[in-house]
Amino acid sequence: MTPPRLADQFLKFFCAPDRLEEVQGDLHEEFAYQVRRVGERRARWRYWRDVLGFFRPFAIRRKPGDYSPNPLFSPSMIQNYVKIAWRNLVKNQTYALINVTGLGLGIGAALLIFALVRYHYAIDKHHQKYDRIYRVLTEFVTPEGVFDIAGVPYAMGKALQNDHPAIENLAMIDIYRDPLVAIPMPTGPDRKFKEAHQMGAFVQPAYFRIFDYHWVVGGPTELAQPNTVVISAENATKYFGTTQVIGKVIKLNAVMNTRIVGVFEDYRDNTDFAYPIMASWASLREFYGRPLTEGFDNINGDTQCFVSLNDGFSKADWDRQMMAFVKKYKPHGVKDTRFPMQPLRDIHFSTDTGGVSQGLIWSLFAIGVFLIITASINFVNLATAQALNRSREVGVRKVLGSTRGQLFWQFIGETALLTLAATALALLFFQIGQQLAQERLHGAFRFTFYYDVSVIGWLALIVVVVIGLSGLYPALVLAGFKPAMALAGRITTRQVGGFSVRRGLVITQFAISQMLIVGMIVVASQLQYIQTKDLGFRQEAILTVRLPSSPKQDISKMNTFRNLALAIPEVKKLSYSVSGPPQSGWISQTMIKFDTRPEPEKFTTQQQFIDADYLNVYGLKLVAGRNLQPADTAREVLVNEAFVKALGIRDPAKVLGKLMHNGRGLEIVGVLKDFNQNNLKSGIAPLYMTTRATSYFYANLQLHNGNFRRVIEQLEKDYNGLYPDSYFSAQFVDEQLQEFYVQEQTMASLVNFFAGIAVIIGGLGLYGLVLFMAAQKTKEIGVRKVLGASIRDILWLFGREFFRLIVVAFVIATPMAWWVMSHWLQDFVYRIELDWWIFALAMLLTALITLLTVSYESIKASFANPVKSLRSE
Amino acid sequence: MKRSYLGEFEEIVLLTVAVLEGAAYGVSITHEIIEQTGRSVRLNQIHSALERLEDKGMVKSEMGEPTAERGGRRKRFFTVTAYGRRTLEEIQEVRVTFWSRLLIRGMQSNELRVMS
Repeated sequence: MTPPRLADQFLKFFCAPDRLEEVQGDLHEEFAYQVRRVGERRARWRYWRDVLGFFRPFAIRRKPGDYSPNPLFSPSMIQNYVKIAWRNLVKNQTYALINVTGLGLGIGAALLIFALVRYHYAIDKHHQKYDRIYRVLTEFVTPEGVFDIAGVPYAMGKALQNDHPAIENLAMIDIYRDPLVAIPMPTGPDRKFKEAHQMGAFVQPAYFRIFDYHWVVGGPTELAQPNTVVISAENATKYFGTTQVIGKVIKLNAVMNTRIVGVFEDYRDNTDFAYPIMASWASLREFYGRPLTEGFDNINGDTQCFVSLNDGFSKADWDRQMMAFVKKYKPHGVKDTRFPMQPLRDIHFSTDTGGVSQGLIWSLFAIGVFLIITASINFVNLATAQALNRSREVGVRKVLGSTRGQLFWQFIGETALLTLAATALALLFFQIGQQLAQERLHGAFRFTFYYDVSVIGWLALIVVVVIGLSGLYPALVLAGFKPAMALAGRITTRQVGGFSVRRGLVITQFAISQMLIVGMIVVASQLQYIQTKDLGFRQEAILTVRLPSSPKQDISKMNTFRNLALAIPEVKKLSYSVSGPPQSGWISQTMIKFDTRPEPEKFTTQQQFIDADYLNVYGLKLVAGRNLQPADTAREVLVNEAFVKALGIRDPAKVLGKLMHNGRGLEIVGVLKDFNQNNLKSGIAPLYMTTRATSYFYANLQLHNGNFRRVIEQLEKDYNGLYPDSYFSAQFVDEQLQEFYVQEQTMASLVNFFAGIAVIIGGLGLYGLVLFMAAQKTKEIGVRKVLGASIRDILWLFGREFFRLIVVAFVIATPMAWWVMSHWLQDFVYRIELDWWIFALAMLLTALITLLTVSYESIKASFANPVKSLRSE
Repeated sequence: MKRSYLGEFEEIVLLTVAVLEGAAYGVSITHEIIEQTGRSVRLNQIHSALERLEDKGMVKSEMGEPTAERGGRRKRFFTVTAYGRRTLEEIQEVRVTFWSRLLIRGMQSNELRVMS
């Protein structure tokens, strides 16, 4: 007859061990008695009830014993650890402050970097077909290298669909900036919305089968028809106050009425393709006022082609098929034109087509790692420096029975405590930094931070790594003290792993700082270089004004506009052309025959339509021949040096007077010195220029210095008077060029910012170290001064040490920095040289920062009165 | 001298321990109280009361010999301390005083006798 086993086990589980025997005994005895009295079944019930009756504090509470079962976690010891840790913090407030600030900055910045890196890698990942979406590019092979353009000819879509029926979905898209939306009003003038920072697009319905969109109302089905548009919920609400706007009409860029057929949910996920206003591809013709250009010679970076492919497709297949494709549609481009495909996951990172440099993102990541290392080194340095002060504590603890493990965990725990305090600070930094990023970077990226598990996971990882890096070494050193030596106070700096280890750490820090400084200098000067590199044409104070889109420009109106513009005193010269030298992504090519050669040339030539003033306005130079005669139709042509070279002719003068055939023969009258007709990202290609007034699309105005705003206002007034059905759009050439580098610029300033923080943290640690050295050497300095040392000698005592370390760090950092940075520069076709002065400057800056941090404390120490420092015993 | 006061239940447990004279342990006390007072008492209540009494210093305990009936487990035997005994006596004295006054007055008044 045994009582219920489960009840017994439960009792054993909760009952205090010293009480269990008697309680269980009583219960069992009672059970036996009850079995006799009321039978087994009821006795079992009663037993259960009795056991549960003992589930009370008096029976559960353990008696406080002399030895806790787990000494490490006994409450009184933990209390003691916390108390001692707190006392140490209060006693060494400066060090604690340096540590917490350094770690906080480091962790916060690292977390921010993580969020940024994550942002770049998560872009457009939300699309279901992410792995199967590609953009078809145009690639040009030039003597300078291979250049990619995001756009393709208009005809690409149809041709691909014919020749590649295996393509699952194919959609052409045409993008334009700063759309102007007008809402027709029953009475009064239209309500106008100038959507700066937004992009509009024309798309084929298949676009929505490639990319995921969610519809509030309507959908893309009707988007096959002309004069239809879909807009985002945000824009719909802005225009009409509601999203139920199906059938309403909006006027795009003041030229085309479109009917809304769908409203889609706002872009929430990070994407590179945010177009809040998307009209149908079939509307393009009306929008541009002319039929789409046929053939494969006109390429515009904003006319793009997206496809989603089946799993069976391979890149090799595609490239092979596209060779035949080029041969068929663009025979003169066989040598220099390709149409490769670019996977969606690469689009964000391809710098040629306006993406972010992956190298810069990885350097950001590396800086994040450096931040953590530098902050941890600070901690280790200060902790080992202070270890001496705690040797007695360790001795006493060991004598009283502390084990090595216990001491080890005590110090790790202290590190953890500080790190957690730093983490709180870090979260504050993160919050601030994140807000700044949202505001500052919005122009460059559409930017959304997520608070999701990965950020928290990353934070946890950082915290653990920091605790490990900064706590491990000091804890091992402290826990390893021999108690006899420690109590006798005979532990010296040598035994705290002392100087050699600390020196090693400081050298690491210096090396990191120098590498970062080298990196900052190189990135800054490279960007400076590509932005200010002489492109071969004038960029300052040139304003371009767009003319209305129409198949044929009205020449008399253009003359009127020229006269009106030149009447403004600030306008120096005016020239009409199809585009400015930066081309705004528009490349027009053609096939030509030269002189009496029977075969067409095997290279593509870019064509530009300019008037005779163009050379003057942009400051282009002739190497041979003369400028064009003023004319409205094509008679004479100018070519560039690259053109002459492509013909295989050495002497530019030899092409003068020869004919260039493009349909009909035109006489070459001059050879232009090469200039970057597109931008630095796309090199210099063969080019010819001729007059053709009906094709002009831009007015290029060279301005005197003055009130540019007034000039633009006056021009707008003139323009609107002349072209009432169009709208005015003007941009400065240098600003236009800047836009090519927005992303690089942003990334570079981020790199600088975080590298700067890393250097600051390093300086902070240095300061702490000097503080400690000064405290340690108080007596030494006193004795030296008494014996006649000058202040300069004392200063040198501090300086010597650090400058030796800087030199060693320089020797380590220079080759590493050189290697990394030369790799980074490989990405650029036009790049700076890694001169010796960059490294020298980095070392000089490190020395300067060191001097600044070290000098104050060391000067204070050297001026101290020896009487005071020697008297206190 | 200020004394700890005893609850009614504690007093009964203490009295039982005293009555059992060295044979007092959890089960025996429980059964004794049930027999003498007819209250339904449970083991855990007794243990809890004994714990409090021991805290107050009115009983002391020691472990007995292993017994076969309890699977070799020992009993904890309780005995009343001198302090516990004096407390019992004092309680008794106070009661006697009150009762004696009650009885004297009762003899003087018929009404009271009827009521009591």
